[in-house]
Amino acid sequence: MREIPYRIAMQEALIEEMSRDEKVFVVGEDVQAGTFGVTSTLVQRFGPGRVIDTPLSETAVAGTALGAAMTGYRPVADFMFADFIFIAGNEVLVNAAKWRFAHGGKVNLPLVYMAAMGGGARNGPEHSMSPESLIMHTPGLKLAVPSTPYDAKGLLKTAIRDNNPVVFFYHKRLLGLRGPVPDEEYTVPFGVADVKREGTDVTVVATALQVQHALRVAEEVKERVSVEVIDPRTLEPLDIDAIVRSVEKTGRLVVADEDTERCGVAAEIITQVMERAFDALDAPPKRVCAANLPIPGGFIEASVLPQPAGILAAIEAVTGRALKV
Amino acid sequence: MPGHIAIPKLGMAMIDATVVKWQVPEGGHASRGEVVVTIETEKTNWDVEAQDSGWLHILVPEDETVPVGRVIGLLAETESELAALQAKGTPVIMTTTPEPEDAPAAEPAPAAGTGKAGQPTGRGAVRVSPAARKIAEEHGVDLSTINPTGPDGRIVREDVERAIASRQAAAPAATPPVPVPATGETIEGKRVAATIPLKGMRRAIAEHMHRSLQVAAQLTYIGEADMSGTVALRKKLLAQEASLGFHATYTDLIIMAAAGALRDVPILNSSIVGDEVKVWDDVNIGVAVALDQGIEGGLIVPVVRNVDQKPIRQVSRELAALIEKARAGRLLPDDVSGGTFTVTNLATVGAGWFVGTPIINQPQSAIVAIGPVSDRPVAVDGQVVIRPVMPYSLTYDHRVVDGAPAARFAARFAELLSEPALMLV
Amino acid sequence: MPLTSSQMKTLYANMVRARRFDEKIVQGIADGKTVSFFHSGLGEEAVGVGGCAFLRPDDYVWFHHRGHGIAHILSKGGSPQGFVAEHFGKATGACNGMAGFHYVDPEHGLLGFSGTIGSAFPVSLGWGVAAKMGNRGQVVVCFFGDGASNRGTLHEAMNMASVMKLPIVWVCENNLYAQFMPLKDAFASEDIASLAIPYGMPSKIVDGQDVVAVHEAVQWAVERARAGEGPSLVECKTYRFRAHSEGAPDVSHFELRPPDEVEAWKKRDPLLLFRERLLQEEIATVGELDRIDADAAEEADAAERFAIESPQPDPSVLQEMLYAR
Repeated sequence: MREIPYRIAMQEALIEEMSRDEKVFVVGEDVQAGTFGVTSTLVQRFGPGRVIDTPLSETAVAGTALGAAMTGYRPVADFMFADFIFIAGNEVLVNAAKWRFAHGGKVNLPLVYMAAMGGGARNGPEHSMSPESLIMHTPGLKLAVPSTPYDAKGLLKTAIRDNNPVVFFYHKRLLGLRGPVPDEEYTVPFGVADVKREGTDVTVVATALQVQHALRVAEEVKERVSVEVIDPRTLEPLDIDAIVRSVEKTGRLVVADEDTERCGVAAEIITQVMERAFDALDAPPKRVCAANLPIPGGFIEASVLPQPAGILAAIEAVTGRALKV
Repeated sequence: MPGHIAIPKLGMAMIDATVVKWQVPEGGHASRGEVVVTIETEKTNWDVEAQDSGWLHILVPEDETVPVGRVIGLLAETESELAALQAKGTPVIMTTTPEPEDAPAAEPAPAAGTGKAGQPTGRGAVRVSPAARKIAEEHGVDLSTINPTGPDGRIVREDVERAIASRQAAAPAATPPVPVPATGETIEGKRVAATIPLKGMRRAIAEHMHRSLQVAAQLTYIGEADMSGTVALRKKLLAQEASLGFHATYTDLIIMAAAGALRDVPILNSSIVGDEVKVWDDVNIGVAVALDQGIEGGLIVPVVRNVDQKPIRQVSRELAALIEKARAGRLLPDDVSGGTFTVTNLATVGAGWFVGTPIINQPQSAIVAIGPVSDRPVAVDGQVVIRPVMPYSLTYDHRVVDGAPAARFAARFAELLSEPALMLV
Repeated sequence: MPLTSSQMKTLYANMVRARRFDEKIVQGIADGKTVSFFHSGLGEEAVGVGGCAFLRPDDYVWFHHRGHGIAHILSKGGSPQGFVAEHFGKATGACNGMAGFHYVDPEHGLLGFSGTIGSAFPVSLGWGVAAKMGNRGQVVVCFFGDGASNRGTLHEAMNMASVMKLPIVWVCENNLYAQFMPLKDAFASEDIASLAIPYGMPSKIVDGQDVVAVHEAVQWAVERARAGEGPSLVECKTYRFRAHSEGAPDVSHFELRPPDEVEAWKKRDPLLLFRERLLQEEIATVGELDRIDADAAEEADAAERFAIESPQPDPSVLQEMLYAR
């Protein structure tokens, strides 16, 4: 199968969906050029009327998608950096999330809010966040966090076809990651976790870049411990059944996610596992997340963001096996 | 306030120890500095001395494995305090130090307000994982009879499953630490002479050896070395033993030769770490030492560090000291860690010409086994002559080491033994 | 094009209806039938009625919280039954009883509402983008209060709407107070309409108590928008007769609003002014107007009975309200 980068896989998803449905359009700051190379080339294909460069105004970007979605369009609004979603907090978290519910289910919002999340680029506290828990916490928003080119394309197509607001966080450090993507058309369903690697000793639930970290660690320690890596792919809806099934097999759980540890995605997943499968646990679950600090810029960034060594240490802690050589 | 007898941390990697023998009985008096209890870590025994004088109240019985820092006995200052301690019954678990949390180095300390996880569970003093508790309840297993092996001294599922398995095998409820004489037990018609618990050193050897064969691509190269030069050199060294101040053994000379060959062919002095092969700058040679422990046997591999940097006198003294500590069961965990290559001498237990196929001591990449030195006829310049010859076998991990470097190492190793003067170069 | 006498009578009828329904909800607060809060629009009926009269059904209207939009909703063709039932918390409410005070009727271009002040602008912007893309001559009329003009979203949306020449009519219903805050202490210029200048659009200031003046000004802006000439701003000077919300003190900052100011505005009741004008200009007879009054009272009584007799929403519907399939 051909291998293409994550960002090109996303671009293909946009091209296919814009070709398939004329109600789909892209809006955001500098989407014609494409800050991260995701929306690049679309304007040449579909014109500026469907690939709309807005003024530097996140609420205008969010509002355009919000209003247009209510009238039956399927906008894909790009916020550039996930941190910027806070600027349009009212539009995303209050308006988009609650609109259908508050209006008795009479108005649907088939829109996608997408943004680049994650650190690793040493961009400092305001351009490195992975505010997944903020979205996951808010009823009414779906949340996709792809870890591979295949998932990025398939999930984005599903997001565009979904009749609800979907937040789609693509990870900056994955944009250039190459991976197999079929030529044929496909979609990846929401709420279906993917077992990225099978194992028997410990379940590592990981999201986005942490999936790649977890796979690396699993390979390194494979002679001593058998690690199962589960990628939920969407955090809302969350395939907790798949996670519980895995923990029932392994008895041990590590959750690796790049959002801040406190009240984060890992905390939520672990709590749900405790509620559903407490008797399956053979060790206290561990979180591998960003420290409870803003994400610094420069070299010191790595001291706050979760690293493969943290996943390794967590696997050691839940298995009680020394794995460092 | 009574004094504490606790499990000391005897090495960086040590996480627990088994109480082997209380040298002072319950209620007995121990003086400061007196050995109170002998404990066993994965590879060694250690005598724990009283830090205070007092009357002993034992908290952890013999044969139980507990984490580092666990208080296993109390030393009462007075006999009445002892009586009070004894009257209290089952004590709560006490530790001298909080157990270190293995947080990844990259992550700073948690911010204020975050609690430390993993403190004792609500139901009693013994830590039990939910899965272990559930299985134990289903099978009616008394958790207080189980040795915890999980993280933080927790009873985990495997522990309970082991207990259930041993119960099903009709083994005695509490397995003594020493081999059990034949008691008429038969399994599938075979009479049992002795039962050796697969624990402690035996278990460590079993796991290490099995794991090594599972993880590495091992093959064995066999050769023999002309030992004329080494035999002659050793004779000279022994002749001047008094003035030199050390007793040269073949093993000393062989590990010197091994160190020299490793310097020339460094790929054999390496480990796989993650996705990479780390070629070590330190040449730390482990020497396998057989222990006489009756039917059970035993093996331990103390490590002489930086052999290539030291004169033979120092290497010889260090090795002699390590072997003595090994036989006395006094090796510290740091004495047996950090090896980069291993030498195992089979000649101590046999004679004639033989070799073995040694198993690599993980995570190293090679091990050499040496056989006995014996006079053999060899052809030299067209004449059959008698020479002292030593067979050896080199097992190496083909994931890391290819045939050519292995052969180069073997040739250099044999050359240095034949002409030890070359080691000066 | 001057209004016909029939259209004039419709304006009158809608103002009377708006007043009766507003009073029903105020009364409901007093006797416990209204389950949420209420922000009465008594005194401001001319703005919503004049601004929304004779729009196309597919034009989009953002009504605002004064009177919870009753004047706008009725003029746009919305059902008063759903309005009252929603306020009474009933399953037959416009939002199926999910919001308590929102209103939605997609058939009549009423796509919903948000209680976070300033949401009006980005959402209307999105409707404007959709209207322009749809290219069917639809317009958006966005009503907002003087308080909302303090929000930054106004800038972001008005700027982008002008840049993109979107078919939006911005109508400020300036009643001089944002809750307890007098406009003079919250807005740096005399007139909200002055905001049209930086965004490069034309504006008009009208007497918000004169329903015809409001209608003519908005109609002027609507025609510009339909012709593709972009947005305009209409400021209607008006006044609320009651406090910000039922039960709140009727104050400016912490002291009662000036009694002479209140009295002066009450003399300019838009309903009475228009009734006098219809009689004076002999557009309608007293009998006709009395019948309109009686019909409105009866309609309001019927809607109230309908709401009282309606069931409360069943909690089983909550989940299906959240997401569209």
